[in-house]
Amino acid sequence: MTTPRYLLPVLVGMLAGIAVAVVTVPQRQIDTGREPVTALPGAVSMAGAEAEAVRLAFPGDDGRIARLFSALQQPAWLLRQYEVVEALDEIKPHEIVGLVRYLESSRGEAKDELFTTLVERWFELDPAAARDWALTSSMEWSTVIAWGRADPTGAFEAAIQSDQPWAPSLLSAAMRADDEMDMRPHLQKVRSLPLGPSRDRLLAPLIVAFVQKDPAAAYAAVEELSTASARDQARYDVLRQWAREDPAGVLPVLEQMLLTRELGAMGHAY
Amino acid sequence: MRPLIGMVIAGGSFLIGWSGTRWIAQPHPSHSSISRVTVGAAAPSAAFSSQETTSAGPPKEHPATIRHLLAGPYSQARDHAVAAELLKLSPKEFRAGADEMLALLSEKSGSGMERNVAEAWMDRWLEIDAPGALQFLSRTMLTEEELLAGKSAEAFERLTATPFGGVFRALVRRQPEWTRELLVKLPGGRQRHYFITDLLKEVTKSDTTAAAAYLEAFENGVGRPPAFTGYILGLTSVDLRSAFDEASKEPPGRVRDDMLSLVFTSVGERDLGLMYELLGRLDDPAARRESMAVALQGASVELAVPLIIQEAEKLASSGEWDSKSNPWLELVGSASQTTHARTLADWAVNFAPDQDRRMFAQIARNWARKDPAAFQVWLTANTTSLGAAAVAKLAEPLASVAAWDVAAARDWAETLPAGPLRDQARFQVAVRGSEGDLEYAAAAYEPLATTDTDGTLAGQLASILALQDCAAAGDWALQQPLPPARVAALREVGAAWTGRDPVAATDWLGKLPPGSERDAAVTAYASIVARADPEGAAKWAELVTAPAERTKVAVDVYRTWCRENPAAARAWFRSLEGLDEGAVPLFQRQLR
Repeated sequence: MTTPRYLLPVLVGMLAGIAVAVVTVPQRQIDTGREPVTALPGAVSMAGAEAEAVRLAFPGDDGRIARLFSALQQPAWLLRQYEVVEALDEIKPHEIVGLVRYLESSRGEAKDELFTTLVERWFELDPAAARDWALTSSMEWSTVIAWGRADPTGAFEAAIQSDQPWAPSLLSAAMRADDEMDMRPHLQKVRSLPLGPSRDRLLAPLIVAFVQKDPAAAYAAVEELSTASARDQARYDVLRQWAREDPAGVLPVLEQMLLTRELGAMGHAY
Repeated sequence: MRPLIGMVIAGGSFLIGWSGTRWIAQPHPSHSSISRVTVGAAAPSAAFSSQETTSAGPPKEHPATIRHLLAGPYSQARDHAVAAELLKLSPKEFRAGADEMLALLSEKSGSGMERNVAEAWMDRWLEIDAPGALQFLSRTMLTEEELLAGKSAEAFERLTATPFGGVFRALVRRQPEWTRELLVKLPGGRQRHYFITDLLKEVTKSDTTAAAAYLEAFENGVGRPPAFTGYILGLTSVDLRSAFDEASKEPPGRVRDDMLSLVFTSVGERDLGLMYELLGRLDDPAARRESMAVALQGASVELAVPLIIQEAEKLASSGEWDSKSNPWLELVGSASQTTHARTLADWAVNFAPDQDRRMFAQIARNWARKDPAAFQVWLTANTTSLGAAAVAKLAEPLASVAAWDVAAARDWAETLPAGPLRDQARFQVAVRGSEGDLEYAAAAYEPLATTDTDGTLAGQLASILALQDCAAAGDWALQQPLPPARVAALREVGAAWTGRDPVAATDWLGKLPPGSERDAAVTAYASIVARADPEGAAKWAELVTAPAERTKVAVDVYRTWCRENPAAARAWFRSLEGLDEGAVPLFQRQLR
């Protein structure tokens, strides 16, 4: 039982312990899972007009958003990405939407890079919200790439449920982002769509992506496309990819094509 | 006893307070949800585990770690880990691993990532150990042989995408004076241009006074144009008004136009409010009009679209509108690839000063390519209000609609009221791909033949007919009533026949009467056959008589021949007469 007369030494001792610990313990690092490094070279603050624009757009910013935009001043691309990712660690998920909207109406190479990085992070943190935003956006190329990279499964599902022009690109981005993805169930899903141009547009990039796993099967799958022009284009894409991966393996197929003069898929003879 | 107990209690409390605070202060795996997601979800393989990316092994292991990281798929975590690895290196480690790093970057050359790694690698090394880095560069990448041997001007332009380009970019930022001395020592010539532009750009960004002195150093001789370009590029990053002042001091001509274009692109990107002030300082109405288009193209589309409409109307009412202005066509073309396409189409289709509806054509082409279904909906709503000039521009957009879903497009075409739009739609459906009904397509062309004034439709149909029978396609082409239609059709037949059977194509070409139709077919033939027989193609190219067509085929053949035998190609190109010198590209002009 602690009596009141021992309360003072308890309090004094504990406060002293806390004070000593605070003074002696090094400044806590936010755990990024990454080792801290020395200050980067070349990073400077934003220029006047841009700093003012960011300040006006984010009036309550406590410096974290300004840091994110300052990171864009780093001239070397890889180091800029490094700084951006470090600064992004301090941005809260709900703040990303405002940043994305701000960048949608901005231009410039570095801002375009930041836009892609932010969208990618958003898809990692909150895929549902990011998806809702993406589907109402003009679905720029950077959005397609970021979605495919950060959320390949969600991107694939969105692609096969859409007949918009961006759907095949989104499907390709998802395939490229995940080398380990088992493509057979995806192929099955697309095969089950009604025959027609929408199905062709989705099936063709899947077939081309399948070349890496099984080029002969991919080449055979070209016949599943519904029109001759779609088959010609896909055959050409498959052969080109196959030739990159296995030049010797594709030769017998090419020889056979030359013998039968199936030149549609090969373009001009020269 | 009591004081002792009090001291013991105080000591115990001290320990509890101290250790509790330390425990709270130490990193926890769950401390930051954002970083946890970053490292966990975004690092797709064991390659990016913190153990591997933060281990400080012996010097030679750093390139190996970077090699390991680069072999993995892209992720933000991967790029972060590579940068972190580079930032940890000491001068000693940079020196020890430099050769291996260079070999690594060279072997992976091509993806673009190597350039970025090279840039960061050299940037960091130059920052912490400039003597070591410069010594290494002098020994390896920056010897005169390496800089100039076997590299054409075109190859140097491509260097920006290579590890060398990345290293050079870091070098000019960190060691501008050292770089300037290196460049001064290099033999003059086009090869230096790339380096000089980059140097001046970076120097100007950090010190405009020093940049003026650098510019002076390159003022005389061939170094001036690239130095000035770099100077203006650098100024656009730091002071748009000064960039404008310097660019507008140039005498009228291509250099001034190019520099103003650089300035106004940056104005659009960074400070559209400055556009009117700077435009007000240009006396020439054409320069004002073109510069405005360039600035608006640099701006965000939300800001640009209302201004495009407002300013085009103003230009029209002041008599300064020019329907053939390429920057304006490019501007509306890029803006129409966004959600604003409908707004632009609604406006451009009724913009009376653009009598040929060139802007509408550009908008329709890009919109239909990007979103054919939405464009088709717009066409349906505007069927009765489209004028003849607008309908005449719909060949390519309707081709995009037909390509998207030919069966749906066929059904839609039949719902249209009789008239040119339905004729065009039916024609595009008919020629769609090799599955088109070619007899039907040829018949569908007949009512359109007299309005096919630029030969777009004839060329399209001829390319499809030639897939089945080149000779018949050639006969069909020669029967067309309008000369541009014959030229366009014969160009397509020439290309198709040459690709399929060059010998038969030669016989056919020999029988064609001289004139613009034969010029078109021969140009197509020679441009293709040059890839296999440049000397033979050159002989055919000499038969082309019209200066513009002759120039086109001559440049095509020259470029192809250069890969095989540059000396023979140059000699032939120099000997040619009757070229349109204004249409010869800059590089080839210098040859002559």
